[in-house]
Amino acid sequence: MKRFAIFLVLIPFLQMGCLPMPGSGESKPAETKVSPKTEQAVQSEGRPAQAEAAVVLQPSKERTMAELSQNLKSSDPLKRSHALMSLAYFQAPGSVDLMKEALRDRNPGVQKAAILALAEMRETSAVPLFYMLYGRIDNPEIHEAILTALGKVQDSRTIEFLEKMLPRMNPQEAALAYETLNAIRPPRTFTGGSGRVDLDSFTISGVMGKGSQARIQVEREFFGVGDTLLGFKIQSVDPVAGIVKLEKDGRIYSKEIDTFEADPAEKAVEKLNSQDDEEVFQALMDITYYQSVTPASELVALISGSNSNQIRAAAMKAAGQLGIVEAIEPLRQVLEREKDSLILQIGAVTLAMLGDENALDVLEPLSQSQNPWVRNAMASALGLMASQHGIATLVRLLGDSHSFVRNNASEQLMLLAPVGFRNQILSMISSTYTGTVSPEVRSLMGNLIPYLQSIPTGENENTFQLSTTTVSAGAEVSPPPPVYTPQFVLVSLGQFGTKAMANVKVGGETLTIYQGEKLDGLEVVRIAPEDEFLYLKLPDSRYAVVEISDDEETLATVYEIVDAL
Amino acid sequence: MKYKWFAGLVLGLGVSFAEASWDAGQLLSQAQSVLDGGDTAKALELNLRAWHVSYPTQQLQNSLMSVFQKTLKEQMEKSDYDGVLKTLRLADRYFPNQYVFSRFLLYVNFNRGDFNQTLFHGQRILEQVGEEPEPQDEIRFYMGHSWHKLKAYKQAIEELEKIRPGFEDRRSVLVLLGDSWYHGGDLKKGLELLKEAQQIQETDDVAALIAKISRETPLDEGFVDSAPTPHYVIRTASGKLQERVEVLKPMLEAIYMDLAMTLQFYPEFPIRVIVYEGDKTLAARLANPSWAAGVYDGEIRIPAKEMQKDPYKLETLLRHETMHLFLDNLTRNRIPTWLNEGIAQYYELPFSFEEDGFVKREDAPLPKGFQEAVTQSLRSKKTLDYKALSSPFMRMEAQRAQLAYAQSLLMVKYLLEKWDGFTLRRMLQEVYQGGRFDAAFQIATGLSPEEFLESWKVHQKDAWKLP
Repeated sequence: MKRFAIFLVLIPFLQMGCLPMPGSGESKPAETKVSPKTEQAVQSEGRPAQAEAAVVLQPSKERTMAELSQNLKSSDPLKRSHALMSLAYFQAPGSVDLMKEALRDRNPGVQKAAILALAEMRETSAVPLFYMLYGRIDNPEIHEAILTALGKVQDSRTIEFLEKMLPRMNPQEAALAYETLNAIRPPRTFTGGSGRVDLDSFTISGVMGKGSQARIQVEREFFGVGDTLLGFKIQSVDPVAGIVKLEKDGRIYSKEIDTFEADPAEKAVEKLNSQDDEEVFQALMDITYYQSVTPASELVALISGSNSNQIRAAAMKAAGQLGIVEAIEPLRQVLEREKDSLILQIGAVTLAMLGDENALDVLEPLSQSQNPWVRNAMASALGLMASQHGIATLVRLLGDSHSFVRNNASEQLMLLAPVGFRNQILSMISSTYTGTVSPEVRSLMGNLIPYLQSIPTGENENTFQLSTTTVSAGAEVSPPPPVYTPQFVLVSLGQFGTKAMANVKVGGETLTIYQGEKLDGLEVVRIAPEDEFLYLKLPDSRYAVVEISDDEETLATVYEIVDAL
Repeated sequence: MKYKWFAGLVLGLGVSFAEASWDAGQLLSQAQSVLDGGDTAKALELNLRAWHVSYPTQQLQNSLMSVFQKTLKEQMEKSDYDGVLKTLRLADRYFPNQYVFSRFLLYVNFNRGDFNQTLFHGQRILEQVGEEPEPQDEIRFYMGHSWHKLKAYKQAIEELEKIRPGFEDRRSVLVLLGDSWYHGGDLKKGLELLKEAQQIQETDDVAALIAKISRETPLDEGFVDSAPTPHYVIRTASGKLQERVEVLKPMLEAIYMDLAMTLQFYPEFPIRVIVYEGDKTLAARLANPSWAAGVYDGEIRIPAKEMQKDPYKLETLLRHETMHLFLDNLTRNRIPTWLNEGIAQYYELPFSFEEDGFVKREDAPLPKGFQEAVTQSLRSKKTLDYKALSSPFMRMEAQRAQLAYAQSLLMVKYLLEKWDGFTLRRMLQEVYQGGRFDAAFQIATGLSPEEFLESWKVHQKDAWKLP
């Protein structure tokens, strides 16, 4: 009966005049006549009303509850907060709805108290309200209270909510959310493989090298003689016969090298249409790894479609690495409306890699993003574009608030200066930084300007110059422009086994050249297929870095001359 | 009257008040009485109840705050850090954002050896306390000390130098600063500060350090700096400078550009590379185990003998140490050792087309012994656990260290091959922006770091076709 009395005392606060709250339940008009009911409840125990009033004046549970009830209506937000916390402390029955109502209080301190009070009551019905409130109220204190409350109530629905919200949270909230997530989410277990341990459970898809040095490829791993696969030890590899001999428990087995197996990259393309996000992402990773297919329409669809950021980022990266120009327009559209910093960073660099001449239209606004990582990516993209129209933006980024953005802009300008933009860069720096600059920017300029000034000017302004970033601040002067001009076409660079090779055309004749051989009378000292460069030793002991020809008719060009390899 | 329905529900304190009072004054008196008797926990319960039975008076607020502080102090003295954190969470409800309480987050994390967490909370609390000098000094002390523990001497100096001379533990500040300058390469400044600390109070440990630095000072004598290259300054014996600059400059410049493009991060330069004569002295001086070739401790230090080795090996060493510098600048040492070492190893090998050549970084050969070490540990289910992988490898004996490095490399390889480099960059960017590592890891990969370790074990067994 006492409990019932307390409940009735609290009822008026269902009528706090708050705005309707979804999920908070209906108001209870029948219970609004509080005093008579309280009186009735008290009298029903056989005590005279006067005696009861005297009891209420003394410290007692009734008095406490009456005070808390009063305070819930107080104009003082601290009193309202105190009342909510105390109701939770005493686990007062019937107070949950009052707490839910208080979630709509105008004062954030009271809202916070209501959230924590509901958490103290372990009130699972409040959990959806917490989710809603988290999205509606942009107040870090409230957000943190909600995350604390979610940790306390431990409702399984919260796992999905937190996993979704985590990437959007600030670092403090993310840390708290992570702790909550770990407290609620059961530990995941991982299982792998087919469980089979026989030779048919894997395919040998390739082989490289010969004899005891030969290595076979299984998925992305390489194995040599003496290595063990599922307990089978490799005895020998015969690349000519396409046979691998293996031994287990004293018995000899053989397995074919199955180079006719479908190209793993082609298999990956088939998986791009899968409904399983993880499978699609893995397929994109495989396509980027093997680089032997160009699934343009699939990649464009993944970039433009409603896919996860992870998939869109991987599709963008693949498009850039595979040179899929069909992705340019979709990328532009994405960059114009996107907010996620990862997508913006990858999208911008991909656009520049694909050679979009109009990329500046979308890159310039993004170079003013609030996010320093986005501005940083814009500096990289503008450097990749190597367009004179991007120079003003790069010069502006020299004064960025973040050192890594400033340094990146400086690097890009150092790379652009020798290819004809030296005067323009110097002129823009002097017109942009006319007043006092911060010590950090001054220090950067102290390095950049002497370097720029050391680059020859005048008639060389628009010609190819030595590109080196190794000139110290004003102490050294760049060496003279390269005097050597290749007299061969550098058709391609590749790898034969572990040996790199170059295919060249000299006087119409196609030759395969290896390291140590001569071209134009100069020793080939290094072949770098991944960079598409060939290194020749010059008579003055420096090295000419020769880049691959544009086509099979054009003579190769010198990218730069370096002092050492 | 018996109100058993609220028994045991007193905010997790687990106390029953079967006959508890509803009189705040009486409760406060009882609280004082039990406090005098040494029962702080009971005093806290009574204070909390008093706080709730009626809207609190100032006296009650003061009493509750005082008993909270006393509880925390006692828990700290018993090294009951979980208890401290629990009490802090409770105290924060009654006294939110109060430095008298939040400071305990620094104490707990520091005492637990979780220096990254100390830094995380330190930064946050610094923002809360605003310009108040006293809290600022204390916070910076803990942050500076944490940087020092993390061997991030440059950051330690930055933080400790902001502490006002009037700070109560000035001596400790001087010792930490002295040691940081010493490791930072300025032996003279290090000595000066340590001697100043000894003037405040002499201790044997600092005296020993002073003696050690005094012995080593000749090692650094006659050293000169090169002109910036521009990303590096090379410091070495004056007679060897030109020769060493010729070898190191092109290598280092190429490394800077490559790693900057890999991480899309351009750290501050010039970076100092110090080439020392006498390898044993270097190892002893930096308190490194004998298996470590180079060192990054704010600057890159290599013994001169490394310069005599194959250029491929020298470049590998420089790439490894430079990557540590990049990661230090990018994350301020707030990533676990396995990730730091794993990334440094993954990107350390220059592309080469000799015996160990590779076209794709994914196909780079593993260092000798790594595959065997990891295979054995996977078979015997004795891989290193997450805690071991997150602690410094420097303290491990050689065999365990090899497994730690091998596991780290393979875990990073798995991370990059399954989630790609952009996932790694995103994670590092989150950490740079102030995010806690494990939360950043969860955001980037969808897994907790511990889950990732389990996932890697399954992957590695599958990839290597281990039965």
